[in-house]
Amino acid sequence: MGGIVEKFGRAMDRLTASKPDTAAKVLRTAYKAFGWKQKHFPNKLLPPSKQYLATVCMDCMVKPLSNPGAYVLTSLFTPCELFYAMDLPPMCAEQYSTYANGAGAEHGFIEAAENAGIAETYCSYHKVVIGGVLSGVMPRPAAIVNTSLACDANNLTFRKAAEIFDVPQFYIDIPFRPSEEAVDYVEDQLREAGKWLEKVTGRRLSEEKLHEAVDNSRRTMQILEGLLPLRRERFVPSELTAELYEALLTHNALGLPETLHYAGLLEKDYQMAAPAAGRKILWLHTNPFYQKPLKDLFNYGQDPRIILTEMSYDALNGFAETDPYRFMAARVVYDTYNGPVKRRTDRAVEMAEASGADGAVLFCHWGCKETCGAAVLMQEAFDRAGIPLLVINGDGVDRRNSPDGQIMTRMKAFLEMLEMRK
Amino acid sequence: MIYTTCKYAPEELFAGFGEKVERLDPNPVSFSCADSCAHPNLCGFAKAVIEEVNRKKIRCLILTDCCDAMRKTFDTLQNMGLDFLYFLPLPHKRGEAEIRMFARELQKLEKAFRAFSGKSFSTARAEAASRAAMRPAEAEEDEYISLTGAHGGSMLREQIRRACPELAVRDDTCSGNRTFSPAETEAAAGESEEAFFYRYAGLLLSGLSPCMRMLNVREREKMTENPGLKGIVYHTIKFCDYYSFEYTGLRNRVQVPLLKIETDTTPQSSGQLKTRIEAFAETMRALKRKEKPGTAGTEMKKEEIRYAAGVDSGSTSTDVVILDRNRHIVGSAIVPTGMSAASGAENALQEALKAAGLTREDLDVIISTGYGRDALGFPSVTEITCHAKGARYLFGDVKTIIDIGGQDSKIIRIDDEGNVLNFIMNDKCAAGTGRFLEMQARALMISLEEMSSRGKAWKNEVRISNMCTVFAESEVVSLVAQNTDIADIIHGLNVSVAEKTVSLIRRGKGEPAYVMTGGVSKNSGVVSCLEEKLGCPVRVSEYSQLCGAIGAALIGLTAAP
Repeated sequence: MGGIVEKFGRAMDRLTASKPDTAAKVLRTAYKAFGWKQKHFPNKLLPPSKQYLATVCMDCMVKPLSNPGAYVLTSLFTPCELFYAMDLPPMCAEQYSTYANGAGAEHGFIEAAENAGIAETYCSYHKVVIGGVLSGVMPRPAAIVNTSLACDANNLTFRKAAEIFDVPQFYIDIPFRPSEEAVDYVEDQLREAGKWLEKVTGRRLSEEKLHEAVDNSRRTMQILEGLLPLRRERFVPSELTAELYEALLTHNALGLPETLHYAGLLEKDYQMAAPAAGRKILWLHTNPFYQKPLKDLFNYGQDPRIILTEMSYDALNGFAETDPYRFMAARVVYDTYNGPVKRRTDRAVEMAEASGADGAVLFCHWGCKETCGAAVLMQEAFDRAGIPLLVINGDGVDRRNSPDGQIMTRMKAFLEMLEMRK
Repeated sequence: MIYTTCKYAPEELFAGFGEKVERLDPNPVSFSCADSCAHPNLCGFAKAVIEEVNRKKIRCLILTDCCDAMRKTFDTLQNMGLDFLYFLPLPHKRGEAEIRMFARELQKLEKAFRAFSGKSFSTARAEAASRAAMRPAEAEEDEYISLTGAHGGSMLREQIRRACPELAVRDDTCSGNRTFSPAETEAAAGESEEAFFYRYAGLLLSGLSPCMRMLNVREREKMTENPGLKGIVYHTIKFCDYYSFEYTGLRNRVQVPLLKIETDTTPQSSGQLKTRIEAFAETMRALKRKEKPGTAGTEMKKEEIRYAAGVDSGSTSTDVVILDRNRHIVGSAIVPTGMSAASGAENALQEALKAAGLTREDLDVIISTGYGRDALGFPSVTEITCHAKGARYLFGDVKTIIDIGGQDSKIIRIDDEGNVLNFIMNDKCAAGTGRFLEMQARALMISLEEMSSRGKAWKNEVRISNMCTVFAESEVVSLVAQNTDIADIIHGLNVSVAEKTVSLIRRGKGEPAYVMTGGVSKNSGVVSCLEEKLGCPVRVSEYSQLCGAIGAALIGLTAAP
């Protein structure tokens, strides 16, 4: 952890425990200040698209924090076009935790959650959110809307948060088996959610804005899908954090004109990029973006480089649907994280082949049963496809569960192995 | 035979085929098969199901979409070549739309099994089975202990029954108590198969007490309002998310004694589990005695007792204290336990008798405690109850005992008479225990005594982020390699133990005055970090190691263990 971030994090830990209101203000101010820096002094090691990406994501974080009582707390897999059509900024739980870690402040939240009895084995993304809610640092939302996808934590965190905040919750159940029948059911729930949100927030859902948002989403997804062949051959510098930003943009920020603009910039960056050599990695699931040795290895360079993060390409579904509700429903029902794991392993292999990955890394985030449970089957699928896969255990948020030594030994050995295969 | 794992599995549907159904109740000795085909961080029950399928050569299994772990169990078992492995999607909500959807899923299952087995389905047989599973209306409840939370199975039920034979045990876990609340709708004459499945789906979704994966779980609160409920054993399984959430609310709501235990479904650590459940039973009995004074079974009047001895048989040392009838310590001894708990106890008793100038005949009562308590042939009481009595004896106003030993750490809250109000222990992990510090001292190549004193001279804050003993050790080695000052590293370790302990204290709702016992109480660095984190003093007695033995001897004096 950098010196300033470390000091800031410690101060936040103390404030979280003693003065949650001050902690909330300090955190918001810090994000705003960092957002200003990203806009005016962008990271020159990144191309224009990725510089812009960082500012869009920071806006997505600052808006809800600046609007206590007038935002929606939501989960990563919830279609957010509904909220944009009502001018209600959503705050994604996983983003909240990731940013808390970026500020070095996750420890105080995790401590608050564990002190309240939340299991140490619970997903740390969700533990940070519960800690934020319990400690009083997270501002009260107007409502909570979440889906059951992609894990059990969605059934627990949001219910608990709704109980503590005493705000209404709308739960969108995503049936396990992807089918048109399931799309019907989710479509009905999304329509109901829109009406429900109008009732509980007193805001109007603009059908026109909803169509616009859905159109933005469709176009964004089409551009990203079209980039797969270019990712194979060209080099556009990236970083671990940018990979997570992109995953956020292809979920909760889908529907925003800024997200569509980012996709356009990225397309330009790829079109202008030179062909590249070097070992290409497909990254599966989230990543420990704070881990310095990993950053040193992957950030900005082309050998090795992450050419694709699975979480940015899991939801490219439902393009053909014209009705906005059905479009959103199909996207989430047919998400590769839904249904039997074979859907996810098949898609991962497909992504690796389409992007020409030399190898893939499956990051088993602490407490994520969905990914840990898929590890052995993912390994078998990649073995069958003849593509090397490295399974590593760590934590996307909680530094305590991501030991540098163990992860780097495995990662370096894997990269050496890829080098030998060339 | 059709095997299932969850109470929402449609057992009556299979009765409609004339099939027998058994809910799995696995307690494997190891996870050798599961660990070879699944990630180690899958929950213990899921791994136990994989083991059981492999061991019993199960051919037909119905899994329900109850949690992430069951979904992954299904994925994993698909490679194991069962004849009929079916995954039944289960809605989280219980409205009309969900009942309709679930009914369709049940029909799909019926069709799939018909095609597989070649048997025919009879709604009459399924209906009869549903009626047989109805809960009798307003059943008169005897006094009982509720085993609730995640699947505990017969292993836990039996342990509770043995520790508390005077009460019934009701299995309210996610796999237990599968009875339907009386149905509001009766089968209409000539009911179609489709109508039956709609009604049956409603019965399954709304007739069973909901498990935690359902969206609306308010009905679960009713379980704690039954007047017959005298205590709750709350079971969680490592890496099962659902039940720690309910426990956080439950512990603030219920008035009856509540014990939280965590297992991985294997019979390992049964000794530790036995201690906890017995201590829980002792707490309930103490409360009952308080409610109904004079009900304790005294075998000998207090004034008849001259001397009572308490023997605390621990894994490292055996401690003995002898008290006279006026509660004065007249002799004590601390000896290594050695290879046998019995001989360790005999040696310690002889030494304590020698110190007191007494003979064995002078002792009217001997009470044993500690992990070896049942091997000594004396009446035994758990160390949790004894620590409470002992700490009360040493410090009159103590409310919370922080006991950190070599192998575990506990928080015990006590009342004004030294009775246990509740207690909480860490689970199957060395983090925050004496062993954690021992391992780190070894990595630093210093003694425990040196560790206790050197940490106080720290200058720069160092955070040890790994609580896992093994990973923390490699972190310590890395810090040494970076020339970090040893005092700063030790302080970082002390802080991490203090944080872990404070978390346990918060979970156990500890309050001042605090007293610390156990081997780690000798580490003044940890004690001062704890004081800082708690914002109040933590007292340590020079007799802290004898606390359990003192408590046992005190219980001996009352002759009402």
